[in-house]
Amino acid sequence: MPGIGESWSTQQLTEFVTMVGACQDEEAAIRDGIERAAEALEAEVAAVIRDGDVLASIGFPVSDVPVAKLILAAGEELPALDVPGVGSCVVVVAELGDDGGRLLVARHGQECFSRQEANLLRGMARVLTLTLQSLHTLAAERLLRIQGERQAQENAELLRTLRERQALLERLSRIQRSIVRRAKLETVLDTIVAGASELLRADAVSLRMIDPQDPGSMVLLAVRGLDPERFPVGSRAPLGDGIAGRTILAESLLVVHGDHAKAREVSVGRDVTGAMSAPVVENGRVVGALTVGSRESDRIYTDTEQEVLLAFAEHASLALTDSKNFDAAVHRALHDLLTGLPNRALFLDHLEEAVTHTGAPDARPAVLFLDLDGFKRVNDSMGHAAGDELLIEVARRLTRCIRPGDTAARFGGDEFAILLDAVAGEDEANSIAERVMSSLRKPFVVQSKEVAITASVGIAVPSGPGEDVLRDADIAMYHAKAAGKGRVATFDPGMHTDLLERLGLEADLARGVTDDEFFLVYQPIVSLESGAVVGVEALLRWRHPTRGVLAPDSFLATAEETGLIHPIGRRTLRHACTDAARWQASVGGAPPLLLAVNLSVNQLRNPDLVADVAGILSESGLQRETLILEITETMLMDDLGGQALWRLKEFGAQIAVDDFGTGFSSLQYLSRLPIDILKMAKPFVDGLGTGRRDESPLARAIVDVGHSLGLEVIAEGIEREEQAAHLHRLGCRLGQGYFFARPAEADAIGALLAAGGMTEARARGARELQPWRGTSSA
Amino acid sequence: MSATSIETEQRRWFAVGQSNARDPRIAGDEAAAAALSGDDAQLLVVFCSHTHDLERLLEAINRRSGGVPLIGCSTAGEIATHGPGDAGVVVTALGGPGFSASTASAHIAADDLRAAGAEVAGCVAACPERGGRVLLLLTDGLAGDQQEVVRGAYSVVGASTPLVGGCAGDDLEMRLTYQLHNDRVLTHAVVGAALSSDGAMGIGVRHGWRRVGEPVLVTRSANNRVYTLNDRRALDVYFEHLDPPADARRDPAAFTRYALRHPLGLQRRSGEEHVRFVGEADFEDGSLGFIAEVPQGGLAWFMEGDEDSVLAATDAACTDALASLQGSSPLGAFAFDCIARRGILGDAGIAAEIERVAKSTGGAPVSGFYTYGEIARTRGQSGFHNQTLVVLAVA
Repeated sequence: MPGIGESWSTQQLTEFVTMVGACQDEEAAIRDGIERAAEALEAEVAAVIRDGDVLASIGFPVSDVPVAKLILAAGEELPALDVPGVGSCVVVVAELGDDGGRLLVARHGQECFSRQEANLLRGMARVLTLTLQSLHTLAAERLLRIQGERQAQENAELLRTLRERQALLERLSRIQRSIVRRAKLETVLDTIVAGASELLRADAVSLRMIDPQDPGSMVLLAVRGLDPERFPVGSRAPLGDGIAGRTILAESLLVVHGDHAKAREVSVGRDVTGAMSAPVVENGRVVGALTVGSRESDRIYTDTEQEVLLAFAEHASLALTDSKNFDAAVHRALHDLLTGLPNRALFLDHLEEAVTHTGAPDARPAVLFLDLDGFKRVNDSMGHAAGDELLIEVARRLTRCIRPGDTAARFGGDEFAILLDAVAGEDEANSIAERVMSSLRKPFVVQSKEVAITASVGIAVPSGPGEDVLRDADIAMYHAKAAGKGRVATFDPGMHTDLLERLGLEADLARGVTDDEFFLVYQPIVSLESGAVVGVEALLRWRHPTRGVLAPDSFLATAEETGLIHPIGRRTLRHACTDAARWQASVGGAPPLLLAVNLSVNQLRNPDLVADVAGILSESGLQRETLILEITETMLMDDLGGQALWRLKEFGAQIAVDDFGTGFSSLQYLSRLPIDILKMAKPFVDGLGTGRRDESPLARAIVDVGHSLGLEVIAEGIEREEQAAHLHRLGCRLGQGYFFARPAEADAIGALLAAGGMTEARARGARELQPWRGTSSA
Repeated sequence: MSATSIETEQRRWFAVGQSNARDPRIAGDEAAAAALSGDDAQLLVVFCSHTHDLERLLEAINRRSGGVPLIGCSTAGEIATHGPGDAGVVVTALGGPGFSASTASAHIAADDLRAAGAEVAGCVAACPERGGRVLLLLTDGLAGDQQEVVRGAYSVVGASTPLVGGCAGDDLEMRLTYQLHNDRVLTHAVVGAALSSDGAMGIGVRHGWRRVGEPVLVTRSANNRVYTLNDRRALDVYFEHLDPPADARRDPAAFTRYALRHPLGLQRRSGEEHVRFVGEADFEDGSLGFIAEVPQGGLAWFMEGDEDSVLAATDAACTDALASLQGSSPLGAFAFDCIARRGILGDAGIAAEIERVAKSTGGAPVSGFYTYGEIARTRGQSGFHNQTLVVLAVA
């Protein structure tokens, strides 16, 4: 490659390791891997081919990937690949591990890929293979966490067979780990020679390199199975001697069998019956050879065995060429770039080691799982740079809290974990957790502002072998968080059952969304003056296949946590708008029927909310000013809510504050935000019409607040005629509740509206509407 | 108001209308009326100042066109056949049965530029392949790593369809840019149009910068920031290599003005470099900010340019674009020209530049804008450029 320094390929490989190492799942690693490989080689096409299938590719229109051609090209059975829009492309292929997977790259033109480029691609393939392997293990581990114990056992079984099949890969990754752990080069090379000896059933193995001081001779660097008297490490032979020497000169793999071997072989002893030798490369130049020999009679090396030798030789090349750079790069891949702490992969590695080497019962490892409370708020309100600054400082404080031998890691986002190398028991783990908590309680200074955060911490101390201590700590952390922020919880098996229940609910919810198990009931909103229906409030219900019909309070929190609130919310809004638009069209009259729909916290935070509302309104044909979006007081106090509310307001919707009086609204907020309606909470209505003297000051105050700010007031939960009358006297114009009508499904509401709304006579009729069973008083 | 148009015997036409009227309704109507010089318009491409009331502007254009598919964006200056301008509107129309087009837009949700690029590229499937086909992309350059948009689009269309376009501007206010799609004014979005022609289409990409001094190694970078070069504070290394005047060493605004003329070039295999605009510097931590990723571990050069080198690149980009037309005359050309090049050339220089572009197309109409980043993917899959001129010639 003209004009480019020798360091080019190590830089590219470093970059590749960094990028691919940051991927969270196999699909992303493959996708990023082929993109980076294509970018590094300035190629148009890249693909991963395995088991006769194209797992991922770029360069072809997504609808028109020439699978058959790519498979042929990956098997090096096509001289060139024709790429639409580019023309004929030259192809280079590298193997992905030992299971037949291949990484293919193709580039426009006739000029072949240089040897340096092919080496780079092989390096990338190796990195990708190792990344995929570790992600696979991680994915399996994640699966174990999500599914129950039974499934866990099955998966573990699966993993074991997988591991057995991948003995070679294991061996190679052990070599790579020895490179990563900064083992001495001699040790690494010795590991390579030992691995080749074991997996290739070799009676003799040698690794010889050209002597840099005397390029005419080779030095023996590592050896197995040869007489140490005759073949001491460091002994020399003329370059060109034996199969090793010929391999160096020929720069390719050589194999000899039978008498031919006996007559000419010196590299691994004259008594071998078969030998093969693969070149070892440094910075693109062949500098040595890895040779194996067998004394079994009629030993024939198969194609697969030749490939295994090449793989070991490549690792020797890697150890020589890139050890330092690769070392640094892998170090980066195993650490969190932002905080410099170990990442999840390295943490798991340490954990595995700690668990395996557990000693006395009073010196067991323990895991603290930390999740910052309120980090998202900092990130959202002060920006990502501030969030990053905060995370770096948190990492610094955690590092100061731990003891030598402990490991603090960042798992991504605001999740951290600490591995306590040896604790006497839960008490000691607890006291370290308290130390962590108190160090985090001191205010942080981020972008010259003081920021306070807390952490929820879960602790798990394994009591026996085979426990998933990280999962347990994670579960305990969730419990701590659920119990209120800034707490510590220690794992007990009951938590696991709770988690499974919650996961069950999550799965049910996801299915509920897919199978459309949600439906709406509507409660009329009535003029207290005339009794006429002026609008309806849409209320969400879930027809659960086994638990019956559920109101939102039993699933809303989970829907919010899982994000399922968004599809559910959109569907609710769409159904309600479609129903209401139909009623507006069929009933007619002025003013048109109002529709109130409840919004949840996360819906309000969703930046796409306004666009969603706009789309649904235009789809349904509902008049925008007749839509009332109800939010709670807590959401009102949320800064994010302010922005969203203005956008909704500009768009023409009305905003109502639900359950007003039960939260902590400040009047200042009320006057500053675009509110149209207050909905008086039921407790204030309950006290009315009892005949007691002090029954109405709070209800009166709410009506007065509303009127003085120019807001409409709707009283909720009216159950008796006296309450309606009393509210009317206080100046409240609208109300809803069982006294007028219970929530009912769309057909019944449609019929009610078609019959002319709710004059006094109709109001009585509405009260007799078949109530939806199980509704709590609205 | 002005207009130029060319029509071929193959019944394809390309026309550009321009208006500097202050009222967005008048400006939109005038520019659209001038551009819609033929029947059967297939696509409108609108470049306009962010200072206009864009809703009104689009209303006027759409009223005039009767709803021809439209994409567009706000700019840091518009380019039309008769020269560059500011605070105006340039409408380009492509029409006749020899052209087909389909358009799409996507909001950049959760900073996922890749997904937005992929979504927009979906419109290529609806645009039948003819003699030549390109995907025009107009994006919000303030939204993050734009190479991700290119990667996303490439993952859908592959090498079959070249990607070309630019990042919307806001007259260097660097606050908010707009993207236009049919009757909608979008922010934080990608808009795209797949365009097929019975004729050929050619793309030229040149920057006109030259390397200064020794290469540097990017030793720490993340999230579009470079923290260290050669293991030292990036800003210190920048100062040492380029020796900027005293005010650029102290004042962030002066630094940005200086940096406009002194970008970073990233090493590529072919030895050519991808130019990256140094957007700002953090004087506290000594890091440099970019609008695209600068990969850690890569080699880079500091670069400089002058009027002559920049104009030489203009000629070369036009020559390259026309060479791909295989002898046909262009019907018209789009120019996506980096705002930084405008900074070097000055007002007289950019007028001369556009004159050169118009001359090289043999009098065919030209439209375009001054961008915050340019897109041109023709070879390999990297296609995001900075401080570069991208010319798309359409036949």
